[in-house]
Amino acid sequence: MAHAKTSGARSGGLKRYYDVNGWLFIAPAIGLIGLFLIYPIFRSLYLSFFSGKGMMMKFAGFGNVARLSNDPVFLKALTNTTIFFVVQVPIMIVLALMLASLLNTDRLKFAGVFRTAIFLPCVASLVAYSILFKSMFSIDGVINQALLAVGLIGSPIGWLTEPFWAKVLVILAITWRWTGYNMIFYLAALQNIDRSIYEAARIDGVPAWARFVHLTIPMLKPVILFTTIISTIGTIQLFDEVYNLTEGKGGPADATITLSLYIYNLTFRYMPSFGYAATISYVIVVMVAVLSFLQFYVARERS
Amino acid sequence: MADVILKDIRKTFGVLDVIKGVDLDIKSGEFVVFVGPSGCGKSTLLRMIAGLEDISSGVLEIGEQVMNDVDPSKRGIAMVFQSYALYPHMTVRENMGFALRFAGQDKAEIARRVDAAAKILELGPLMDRKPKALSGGQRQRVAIGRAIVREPDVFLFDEPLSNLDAELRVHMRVEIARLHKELNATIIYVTHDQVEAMTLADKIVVLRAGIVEQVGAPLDLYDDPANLFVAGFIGSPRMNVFAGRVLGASGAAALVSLDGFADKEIAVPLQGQVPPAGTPIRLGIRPEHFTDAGEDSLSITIDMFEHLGGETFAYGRSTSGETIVVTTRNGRSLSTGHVLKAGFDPTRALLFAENGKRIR
Repeated sequence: MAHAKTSGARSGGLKRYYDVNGWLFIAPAIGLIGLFLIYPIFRSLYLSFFSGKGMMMKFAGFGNVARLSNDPVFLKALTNTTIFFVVQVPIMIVLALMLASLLNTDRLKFAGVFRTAIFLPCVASLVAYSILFKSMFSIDGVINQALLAVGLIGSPIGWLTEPFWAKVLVILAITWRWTGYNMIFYLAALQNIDRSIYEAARIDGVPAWARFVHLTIPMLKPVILFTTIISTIGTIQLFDEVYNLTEGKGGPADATITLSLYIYNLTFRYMPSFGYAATISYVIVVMVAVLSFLQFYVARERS
Repeated sequence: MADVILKDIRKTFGVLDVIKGVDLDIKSGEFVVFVGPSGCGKSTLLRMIAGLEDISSGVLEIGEQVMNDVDPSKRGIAMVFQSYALYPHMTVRENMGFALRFAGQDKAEIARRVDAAAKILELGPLMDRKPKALSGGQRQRVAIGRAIVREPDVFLFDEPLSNLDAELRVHMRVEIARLHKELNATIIYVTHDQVEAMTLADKIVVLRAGIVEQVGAPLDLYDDPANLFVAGFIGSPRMNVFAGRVLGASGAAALVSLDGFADKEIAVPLQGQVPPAGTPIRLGIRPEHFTDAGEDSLSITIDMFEHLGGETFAYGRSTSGETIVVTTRNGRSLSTGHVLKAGFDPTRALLFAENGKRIR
């Protein structure tokens, strides 16, 4: 009898949805996912229709969306975020590709040492490296002194005080941190490519640049797409570096404030404005969705 | 078309000698097969001719030009790899025409050459497919097509059929033989499969541990091997080798006894001098040279069979423990434990010294 029951449950049909044992097994996971993932998504969507400070909230419909276009800080954060990913992601992807290609040549000695050195920043402590960057890029820091000594600049650059250079510093910092991470993906993909493909191309007289452009890059396309999307999402959500480098202010004069930092400030730094912060979170969601779709579309397989 | 000449070619990786002085003379239009067991250096030698490996010492000439330090693309060669090495993101047409784009050929000429090669290889309906949509045999044909369009002086094949299943391998073997006739090109072909070597080659080069053991026409190697290694490597199943001893001379023949067949005395005709009595020797008899009749015979107790349909391999052991294989056409009536009287013609038996060298 028991046997008949289990085999009946196994064979599908409605019956298996009522098997309480199955539900018990997945209940803890579903509970946790529901509580910490699904609920916040819908709760923040719900919140985004409310305005007000702290707990004093009232329904505002699409009032928060209208507020976005009149909020100079939001527009500034949106511009900064866009600048960061438009400038930084391509630089980092190209740099990572080049480094991976260099590390993949078998003529290179100590490739393992270089690989580790380039990968290390992304596992380094964020706070430690922020402090290091701040001291290196301070007015009398080692970077300014080196640039002065070489004669590239006449007077020290205010990396943390001038809006333009502050952006440059943030881009430098995230590039330094994440290039090695992306490079590892490329290196893994490169090492999976059959060596004889390159040997065949060499014998056929295909020059090195053409091997890179016409063979390596197309063969790495799926990985390039993946890293571009991951990096884009990461840069749109950029928070840690800016927070640590600018004491959470996104200064000077909001020159480095990002959407995520603004959300943080709206929630925890200023008088809490949960509804408006939730609305900006959805701006990030929409941006990520649109950009990812665009990247998939551009990289699609053309027949 | 070009001759390929190797003079004392050596390859060392640090302290390891991989190729230990190879001299070869490959005539224009010849089909030469490098054959040998895994790790014998045959692929390394081919890659040195291709320019993918540096030559440690010695001289490589292709078409009367020293090519030791010439870039692979300027040696007038084209290579076909075991893994096909097709460009996965390009169609068959693009794969075949890709190299020509960088050789300064105009579009019309590229199209002409690609179409001509496609016709030879019957690739017409596949031209717009990508490699992943092709079968193994089709991929290898594309790889060969990619070599043909470059109109090289010398074709290099590195185990091109090893990734194919048995049936396709036979089919492609015939295709390659046909191609050689059609193009009349110089071909250097590496394989570990002695059947491929025997069927395709004008000339076989047998390599072992970086040394050329023997060079010659397939049937010459089969009939007249220079040593035990070549005798064992060419021919399937392997030649039977019996340990024994010289008893004395009888005219121009050596009278030998075999350890595993104590009562036997066999007279093996020799051209040269008969070794002194008591010299240990090895006697080689090919499985297919055993017949029902024959001047001499060995009594072998059969302990295993392999029926192939047309013929049967019967396995037995001598009293000294040597495995013996006999190929026979009427093996169906045999059963285990049967004592087979395997006749043979002593003029077809081959005599070797204890160090493996042939005694002729």
